[in-house]
Amino acid sequence: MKKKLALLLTAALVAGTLSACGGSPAASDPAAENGSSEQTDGGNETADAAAASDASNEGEVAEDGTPVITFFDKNSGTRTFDDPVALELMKRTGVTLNLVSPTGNPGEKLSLMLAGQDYPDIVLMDRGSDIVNQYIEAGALVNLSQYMDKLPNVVEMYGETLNKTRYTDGNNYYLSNWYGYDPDPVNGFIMRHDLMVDLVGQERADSDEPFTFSEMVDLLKQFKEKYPTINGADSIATLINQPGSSDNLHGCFAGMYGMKTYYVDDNGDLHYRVSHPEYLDAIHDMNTLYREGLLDKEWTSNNGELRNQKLSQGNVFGYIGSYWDVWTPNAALIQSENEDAEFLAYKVVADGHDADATTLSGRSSLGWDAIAITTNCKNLDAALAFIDYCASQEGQDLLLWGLEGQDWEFVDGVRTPIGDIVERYQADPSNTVNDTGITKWTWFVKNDRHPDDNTTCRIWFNEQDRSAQYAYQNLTNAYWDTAEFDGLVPTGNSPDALKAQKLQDIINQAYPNMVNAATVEECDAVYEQMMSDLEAAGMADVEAIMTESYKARMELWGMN
Amino acid sequence: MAKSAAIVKPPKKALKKRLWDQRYLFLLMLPALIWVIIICYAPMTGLYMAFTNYRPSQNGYWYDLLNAPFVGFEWFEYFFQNDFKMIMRNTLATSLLTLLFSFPAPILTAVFLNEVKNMRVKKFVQTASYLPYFISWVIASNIFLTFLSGGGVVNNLLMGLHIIDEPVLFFQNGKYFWWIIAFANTWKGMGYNAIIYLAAISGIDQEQYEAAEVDGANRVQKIWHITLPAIRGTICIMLILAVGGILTTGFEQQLLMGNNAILNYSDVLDTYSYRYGLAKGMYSYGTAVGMFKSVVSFILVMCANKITAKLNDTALF
Repeated sequence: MKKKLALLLTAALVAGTLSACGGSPAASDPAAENGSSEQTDGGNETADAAAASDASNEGEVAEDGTPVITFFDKNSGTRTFDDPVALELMKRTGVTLNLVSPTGNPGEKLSLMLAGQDYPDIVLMDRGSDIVNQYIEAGALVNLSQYMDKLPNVVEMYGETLNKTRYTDGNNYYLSNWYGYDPDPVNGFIMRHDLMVDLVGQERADSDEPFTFSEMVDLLKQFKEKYPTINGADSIATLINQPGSSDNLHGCFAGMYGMKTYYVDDNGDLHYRVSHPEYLDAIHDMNTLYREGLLDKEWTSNNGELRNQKLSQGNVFGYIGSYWDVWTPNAALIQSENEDAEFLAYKVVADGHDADATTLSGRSSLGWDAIAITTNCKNLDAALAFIDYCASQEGQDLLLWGLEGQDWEFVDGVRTPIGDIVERYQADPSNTVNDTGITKWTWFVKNDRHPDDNTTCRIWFNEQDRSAQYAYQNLTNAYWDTAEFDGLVPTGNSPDALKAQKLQDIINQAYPNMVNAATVEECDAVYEQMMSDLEAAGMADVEAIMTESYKARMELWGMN
Repeated sequence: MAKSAAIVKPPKKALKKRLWDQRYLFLLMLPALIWVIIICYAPMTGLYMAFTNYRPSQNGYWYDLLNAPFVGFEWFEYFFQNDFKMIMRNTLATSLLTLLFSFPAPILTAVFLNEVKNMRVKKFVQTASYLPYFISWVIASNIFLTFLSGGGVVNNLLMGLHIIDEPVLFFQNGKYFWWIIAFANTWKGMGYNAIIYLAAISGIDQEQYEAAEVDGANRVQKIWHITLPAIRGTICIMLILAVGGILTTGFEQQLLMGNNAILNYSDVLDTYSYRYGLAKGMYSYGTAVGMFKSVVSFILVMCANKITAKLNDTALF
């Protein structure tokens, strides 16, 4: 008997393990799951129609009977979906939302999910990354164009944006997040205001007149002379983030010279920014800061935490980057130093350049993120209703303003925050967001003011704080729409994509070495070497492909 | 020859009979066998991806894999023509430096620990030395980043001793990076690996030491003539394993401590195939690079095994 039992258990173990690992093709085929014998390929209209007729809720149901939707948000970090806004959103949409944590690198997780075809019902990805096209090409995303009748709020809110986010086959596979024209400033020299007042006087420190780069260098030198050490530590004139994966020269230095994502020559052909006639001038400016000891020597290791730590120590004069990067250090400095020890934005223009022709504030009108329903979604009706509600004005108010009557109310027809909620946010942004749930889930966000009362889309920014006031006052005429250049790099498993990645690697490696060069000649030598490496790695081929895609996009958008 | 002739072999039973006699042992082995097949061997079918242009679709993994366009050695060729030299240089340099320090370090630790007679001190040193093994690389990397920063302990110490005038920017010079990784790998694994040698040492017959003492051997002579020869087999096996893993020189540490300025020194086979294969979704290319590593590692293990078998009569298989 015992022997038989042992054999039975072993057999069960083998069968269980094999079946769990193997899976059947039929079960993993969403077309089969939807009851359709046809494959739901990207541009296959017949299959699309079949899938459209099958849109229903056949998937998992929660204990309370509501359909379960799984959601991967690359930005959600370690947050949990249990705050007042989250609970209200589930109540209003009638779904149970299970958030899939990105754990680690979200890009890696998205790639892995795609390779294993085990993506959740809804995915939020980086729109600028090639991952979106990979998902579309794999047929992993539901063609939303066929369901527009079920998405009336989406159609109303997104308007022309839907036209521009179409894939090359003319269909919409995702909805943008943070879409619409957004003139919010971005990059600048974010300087300690109390030290600015000390060095240039109150009037100049509060003026909206831009500085030239040479003026700023002189100012930084003055600072170093006057304050060789602060709080017992060596002073740091400026600090920047560690190099990212983009060749945007930390936004600010490309923006000072009016550079865009790519350099477009007279023939309308696209080139990497390194071919811009003034790229080397911008690099020289950065190298000047480094050589003169005006840039943090260890900038290449400055991740977000280290940056905040250094900026909060009180011995740094300026940060070069986005004006919102300094909010956490600002809160710390006001406590530890003085009320005026805030990093505030100043505009710096390259010598001899028009201050109104900068590109310091590049933003895509098509948004930062792409949100899509995947073909793994079995509760398709519920998912469509969910995204339609989130995209509606009512849904947006819930996500970005909180609960009406509790967090805000209408006073004379104008949305008005209740109590000290905004002050609480200004004193402690992260905990207030976590506790209230307001702006914790930023989905389908439209960068626009409310049409009825002209209030901002987010409750926190209805009244600008000082850092925003300075940014709006000083970083003027810097906005440009990056949308036309987004996602042109060849993607996926192709030799061209490999070449493109290699080119990016070469630029990424050369960039810090150019900035950190001991002499201008050394800097130029690194640049020359980089350009010859890029040519050898097939830069011309990749640029030709990007130019072709760019022209096709312009045609699709009717901009030719 | 005489040795083998002296062995008395039991009468050989039929294979069927022997299998049946040991059926319960085989049954016990079955779960492990299933685990090895499913976890270790079954995924190897994915290596076929390296010879195709794999693109996921909605047809299921197997369909996509088997119907992907066959491209032969195209991905390997691209790798050899482009980044192979740099990646192999970094991998081998980091690995050999690591081997240089991390191979003798646990042997020395174990031998010295064996000589410590005070049990409290012995236990403390043992615990303190193997504790780093349990610290995640995320924390360990931050410790190194902080200690070796411009204003970190190491630079302060060197400047305090007037060995240097300016702080050394350790993470901006690629050549330092190999040494940092080698040191970090050794620091992290030394204590844990020492346990294996300590276990081998504890199996040595104490009478040998007593006899040596009677013969008037000092401590060093006892180590040289008794301890080290006794653990020679273990040392050989550990060396075979270390040589097999020579291309596995780390992943998290390079990813966490490296930066773009020194990418041409910090990028090793594992980080490279991760960046291309996973982060960029170039599955076939990533697989090709990974497969190259596996094949070379396999050849190295076989060679190391053969050589040690010839030299020492001790081999893994």
